[in-house]
Amino acid sequence: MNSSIVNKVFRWIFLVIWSAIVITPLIIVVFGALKPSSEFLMNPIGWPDQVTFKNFANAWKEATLGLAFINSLIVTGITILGLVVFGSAGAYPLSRRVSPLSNLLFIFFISGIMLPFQLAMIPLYQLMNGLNLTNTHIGVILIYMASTLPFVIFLYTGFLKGIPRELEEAATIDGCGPIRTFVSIIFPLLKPVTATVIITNSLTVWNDFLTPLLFLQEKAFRTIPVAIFTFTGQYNNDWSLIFSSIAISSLPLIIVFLLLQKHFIKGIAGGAVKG
Amino acid sequence: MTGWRKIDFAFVAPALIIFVVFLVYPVISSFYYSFTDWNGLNPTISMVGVDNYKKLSQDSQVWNALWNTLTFAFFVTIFQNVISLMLAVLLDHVGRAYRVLRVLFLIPTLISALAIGFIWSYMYGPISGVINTLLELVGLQSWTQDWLGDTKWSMTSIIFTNIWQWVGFSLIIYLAGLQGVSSELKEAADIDGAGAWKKFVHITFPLIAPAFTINIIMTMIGSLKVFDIIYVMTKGGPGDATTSIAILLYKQAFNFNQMGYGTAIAVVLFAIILILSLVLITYLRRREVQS
Amino acid sequence: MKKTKKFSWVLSILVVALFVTACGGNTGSNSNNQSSEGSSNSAEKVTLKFYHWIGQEAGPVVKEINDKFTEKYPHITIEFESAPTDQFETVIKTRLASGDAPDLFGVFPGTKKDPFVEANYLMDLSDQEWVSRLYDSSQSVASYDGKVYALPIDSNVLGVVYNKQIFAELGLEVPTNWDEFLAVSEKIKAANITPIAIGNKDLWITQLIPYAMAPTAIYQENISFDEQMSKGQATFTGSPWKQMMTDYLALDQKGYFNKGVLGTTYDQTVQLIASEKAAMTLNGNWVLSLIKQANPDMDLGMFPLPYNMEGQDAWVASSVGAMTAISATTSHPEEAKLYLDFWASPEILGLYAQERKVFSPLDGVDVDLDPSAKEMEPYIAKGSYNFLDQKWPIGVQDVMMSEIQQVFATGTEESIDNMLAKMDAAYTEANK
Repeated sequence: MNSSIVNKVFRWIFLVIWSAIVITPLIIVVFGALKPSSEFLMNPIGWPDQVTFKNFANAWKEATLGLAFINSLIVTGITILGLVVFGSAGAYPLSRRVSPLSNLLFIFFISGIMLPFQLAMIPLYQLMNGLNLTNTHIGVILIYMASTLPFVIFLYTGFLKGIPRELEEAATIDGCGPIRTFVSIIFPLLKPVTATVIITNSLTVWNDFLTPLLFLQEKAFRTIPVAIFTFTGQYNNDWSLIFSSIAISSLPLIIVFLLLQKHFIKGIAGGAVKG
Repeated sequence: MTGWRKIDFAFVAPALIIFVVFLVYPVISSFYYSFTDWNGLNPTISMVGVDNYKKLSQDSQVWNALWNTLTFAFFVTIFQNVISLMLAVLLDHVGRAYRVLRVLFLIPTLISALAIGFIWSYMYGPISGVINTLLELVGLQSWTQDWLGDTKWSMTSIIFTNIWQWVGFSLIIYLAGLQGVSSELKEAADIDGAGAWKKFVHITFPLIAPAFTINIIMTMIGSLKVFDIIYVMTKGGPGDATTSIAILLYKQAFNFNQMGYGTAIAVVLFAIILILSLVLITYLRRREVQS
Repeated sequence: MKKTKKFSWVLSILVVALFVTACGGNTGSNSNNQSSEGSSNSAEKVTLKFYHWIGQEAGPVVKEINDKFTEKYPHITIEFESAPTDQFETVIKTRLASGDAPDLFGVFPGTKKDPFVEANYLMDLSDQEWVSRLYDSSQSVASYDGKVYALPIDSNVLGVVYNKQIFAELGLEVPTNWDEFLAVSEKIKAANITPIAIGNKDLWITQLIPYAMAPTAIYQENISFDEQMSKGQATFTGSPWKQMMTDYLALDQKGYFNKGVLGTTYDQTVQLIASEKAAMTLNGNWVLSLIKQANPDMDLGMFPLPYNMEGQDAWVASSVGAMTAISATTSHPEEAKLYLDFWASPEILGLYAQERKVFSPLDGVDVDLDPSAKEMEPYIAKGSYNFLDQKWPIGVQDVMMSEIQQVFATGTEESIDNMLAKMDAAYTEANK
């Protein structure tokens, strides 16, 4: 029918336009990574006159990106693991138990999203110092978990509401205890949310700069954003190295996202509606 | 079914403990500084009661930053959600092209703030910036602007870049929400001959209410707290045309060595966010229940 | 059931992971908290923690210096960490306020270091040998109340960097007073080249022209202007500042700056110069290497901003850019002093200045300067003054930079008056 063709055309135009808007700056990053530093300021956004792959190697070496990768992986990976486990567990009673306590705790957690981090830095540093947790992975992991749990709980609570209680009732009748019910029945139904939690929080944690700058200063423990920033100077920045570091460090996340996609789209999720 | 059992406390305990020790406690401690005139450095601190709060209520910089922040939050919340919702519906299909596009739109969120500032300074550059060059190419020379340097356009430009960066984030959440809408329902609407728009409004949208709530709240809170994107693009300039509350409080605390005053501003920001969020959450959750 | 098993696996992995990182990572911070007891005379191994912002630009030469130091004093190792300038201040303030000071760390010259001194974080270094070798201007920005608290490690100068070839082609001579400067700019503009590239989107650039004007306009006649201000005997309003800002704004209004000055960044101005679309720019000697890297064949020169009348001299803005201080609470004071001593030796400071392409803040150090930067040497000898913020109380500089952007956004005389009034208010407020 005519209107559906017009519809389709509009859809594709919108997608193409937005794709172009998204891609253009990204192409600049890729071009920048392929240019030698000397060419950079003369030709900051165009196709490189001399394509070079040396920046990747240089950035890797100078910023010890290999080590930074491992640190970023450890910090992000364990944080995400903690978020999924503790976040979903925490959200469970909040969404299931109808009581003032649930509401109170929910609001308490959500208010955490609203707190501005910059000013908590000094008391937080004193705390970490006192607990001997500066320059440790676990210290930074705990800080990240604390600041992202509110959002994760918000997500899980929201989606848990869409899961019918009949499922738990059926499980109890079958003789499952609360933990088993949660683990075997409820949690698997939360796959799309869990995938969302993983993606959204890996983004924020992977790219975060201020926390590792303060708490993981030693070179051996540096994460990627801090390593990239070693290319900024008091007056002059080395942009080709910065861009190639960004290109390298985005790669693992892109791969993870591509892989996680199937958990979100049609077919596998199904959702609780099917029961 | 109602009332907490012992096991429920066990479920919440780890999250609660980590949250309280590593976030709530440091932040509440920092609120203490708002009652002092501490400069952020000196070990000796003296109390000044509510002086900082009185001062900020009369500080024109605070009101200016408040206006900027509310404007920013308003436009970002609306446009980011409209665009990402549209994209979510369009991309909610199986197929390789769709898979690639979904990831593509997420990539801007991966780029570090430093690079965003640099790249977009070149996109918006007045002389040979990408946008102006493109406009000139199609003969629209008169439309070229100094997108970041002209106070008429600086905030709009930053709003646009912010949306560009974060649409992918909201997109993912809407996509997750859409998974809960069974395909049968969607197909049923098609067979009935319902137009795409009607289908969306009456069927899809109500069913993704939780995702909608989450996204609206997150974008609103995130944009009220906005710091990074403004800092790397204009540092709050030209003048104070793009200074948000978070930028103002950071400058007061660290550039002007007024940690006490800066903290007071942060407390006020938190209060504003808290009130707005509570109102919004209550309203949205009611909508959710109705659906 | 299978799924419970999977979950317990996940939980156990999580617990193990948390446990491992908790134990494994601790070794790093343990060494942090061990204080070495016993006299520092013994040859026991000492590690000095050194935190600065010079890492990106000076990383390799700092490493070289540290290696040489350990060669000379094998029992001392230096652990050098760097952070970008912008974030450095935030981090160091947080660490100091939490009692976790590095042994040696960078401090900014002038009044920016004063809060650190007042909070007793910096060690008094007035009795060190190198103090007598500091130039007067360098010593003054490293001092508080007559005592020296840090070692300046570089010195920079502001001036007009220009493309000699364009000048030659247009038959232009280096201007020696303000009228000549305007005339030269007019001729360049007529040839369809941007006379002066300026990047006022970057806050730190906005201050450069006033800093370059002030030594000639104010301090040449009245070197105690800053002292008078601090005693409340002088203000920005009613001083040559108004004329300076009017002339600064006029350069833009006459079309001598690139269009869209407020949207142009420092990097973009380097591009304009390197691609020969602009003939001059006002900046510090640090910009030379950047331009030359972009376009190695350029023939660049540098002259002081001639903000003087005919027959007068032009004074130059020249200042220390970075200093290093010793923590007052370090457990290794003698070793830290040895390190600074080493750094201040003519051989080592010369090496640093050479690599960084900066001037030396100490007398008796031979630096083979970039030829373009060398052109400024005779002028520095004639008369110079610091970058102004180094004598101002905290906050005035931030107000000035933001207000300059405001002036360029509105372009009115009123905005200039406003700017000076706000600077005065900030000065009085911070001076209390």
